Amino acid sequence: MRGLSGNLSRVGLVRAYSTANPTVSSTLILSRNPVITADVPKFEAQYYKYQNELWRRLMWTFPKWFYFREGTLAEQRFRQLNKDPVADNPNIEFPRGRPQIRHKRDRRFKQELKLPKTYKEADELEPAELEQAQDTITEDDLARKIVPNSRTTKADQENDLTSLERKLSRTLYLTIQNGSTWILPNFPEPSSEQVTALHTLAEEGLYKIGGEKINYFNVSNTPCHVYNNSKDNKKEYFIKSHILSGDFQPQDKSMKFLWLTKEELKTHLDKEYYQDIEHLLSEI
Amino acid sequence: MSIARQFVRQFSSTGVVGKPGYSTVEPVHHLVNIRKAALKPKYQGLLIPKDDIRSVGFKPTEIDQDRVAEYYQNTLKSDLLLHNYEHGAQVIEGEKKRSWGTDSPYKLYRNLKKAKRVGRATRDIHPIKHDNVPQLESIYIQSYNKWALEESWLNISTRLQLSQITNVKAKQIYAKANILPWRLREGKPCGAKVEIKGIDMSQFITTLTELVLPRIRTFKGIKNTSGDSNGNITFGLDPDNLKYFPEIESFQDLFPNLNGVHITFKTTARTDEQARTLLSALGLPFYDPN
Repeated sequence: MRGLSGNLSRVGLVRAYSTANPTVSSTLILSRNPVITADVPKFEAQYYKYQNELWRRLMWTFPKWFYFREGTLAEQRFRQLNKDPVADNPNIEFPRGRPQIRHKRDRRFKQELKLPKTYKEADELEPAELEQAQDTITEDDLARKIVPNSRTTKADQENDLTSLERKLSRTLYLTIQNGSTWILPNFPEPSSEQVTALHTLAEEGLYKIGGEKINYFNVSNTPCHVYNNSKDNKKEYFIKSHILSGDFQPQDKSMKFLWLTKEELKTHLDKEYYQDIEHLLSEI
Repeated sequence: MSIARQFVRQFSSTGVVGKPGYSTVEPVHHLVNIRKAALKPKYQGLLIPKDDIRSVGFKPTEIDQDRVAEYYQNTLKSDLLLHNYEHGAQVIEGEKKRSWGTDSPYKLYRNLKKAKRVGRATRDIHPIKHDNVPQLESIYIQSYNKWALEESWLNISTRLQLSQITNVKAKQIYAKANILPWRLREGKPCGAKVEIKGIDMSQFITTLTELVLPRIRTFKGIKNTSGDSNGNITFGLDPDNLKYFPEIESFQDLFPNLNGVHITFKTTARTDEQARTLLSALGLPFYDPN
């Protein structure tokens, strides 16, 4: 009885899609992982700032006597930069509260240290020096001021959707145009007799459409999802991988491709198709 | 003489009935030793965890964006889930302590027999699901200083060195055994240990993988054979390698006697293979010594 009902339900499942055998195909989710840290929402940034200030306020006093031994040149330079706080004098009224000095630190506030710099800030330089400094500073100068690179790139400003260097803080997914619709690259089995493994199928297909100048990492040979494409009578198995280096260079000139984030995929992909694969895509 | 004493108890009533309200039998309060002083209401505040603002030793933990934790959460976790997935995987049962049998009460209440083959019982290996994806729990760093056995003040620099590279105050470790050829005596301080979690752990991994390990010329990677078969991986760093930590590099004259360290990555992975996958994804290289 149990076996019979099991058989019946299986038959029903197949019939829901098609009567003919569906084509097995491999869909590649090729993603570019975030290169830089995620964008922090304003509230979160404020929370971190508050906690960080608390942490600094509760920190132990910097053991200057250990890191800068008395009588050394380094200690002299440190002393020049870090002036002692205003001492507590019982004969003086302090309208903003009496200082609590311990080891030359006012315990009421966080301790701020200035360390000797190997360079001069722009406002410290003379106008004549400024021009000279701009010429002499080179990339391999160890003493130069370290300035972080911009979080937005040229591709962001030009809104170049085909560039791998756009939206560095987000995960990008490769999408290609198939007729009038956008899809994730899909590669059907060449024939039903000759069976190829799904990940091999995806790799061969990717090299065929995007050239061999892609260094990618296949997360697993196991597919992470299956999409029953009733329109084309296809079973699409999803293979997950990350692009590590190189670039996607379409071999066919007429082929259009984009590197898109999750939100952008929503507007580009077919609604039903997107809803089916939504959970596979990264929010960040 | 009271009346109660003269009263002869019948078999129909219990002894307790005739007794006044206290027992001469010493009450058994606790089978484990309890430091009563620690139960004082005065010390209740010390039980509050350190990341709670009501604690006396409050130290904020969420002080900044955690790059490594974010990477794990956003990218690595789902990848590890898929990578470690196996079709039709079953629970591989570990060796458990065995019963002596149930045919006599003596066997029933006897302490359980040792596990088969391995002395110590081992845990089950469950298939990887969304709730047991391998994760890095903490990093445990310890350093043994044999010179501190003779001159205990030499241990100060070992502790300081660990604190310097981890940003956490290191604890002193003491010898547990008397081993004459090593001049080891029980209770002698002989090194330091520190366990780092959270943002300190992330910072340490970043420093290790981006600044320290790439600069060690002889470093090939962590050995594939390393691991305690429970998903914890250990490797060592020589004293010469430690000076590549930027915190020590800038103050080399303060650390004349550097000590080698053992670094253990404690993970929730159940096998070493899974732990190695996790660590290599975090940027630690591995190599096959054979």
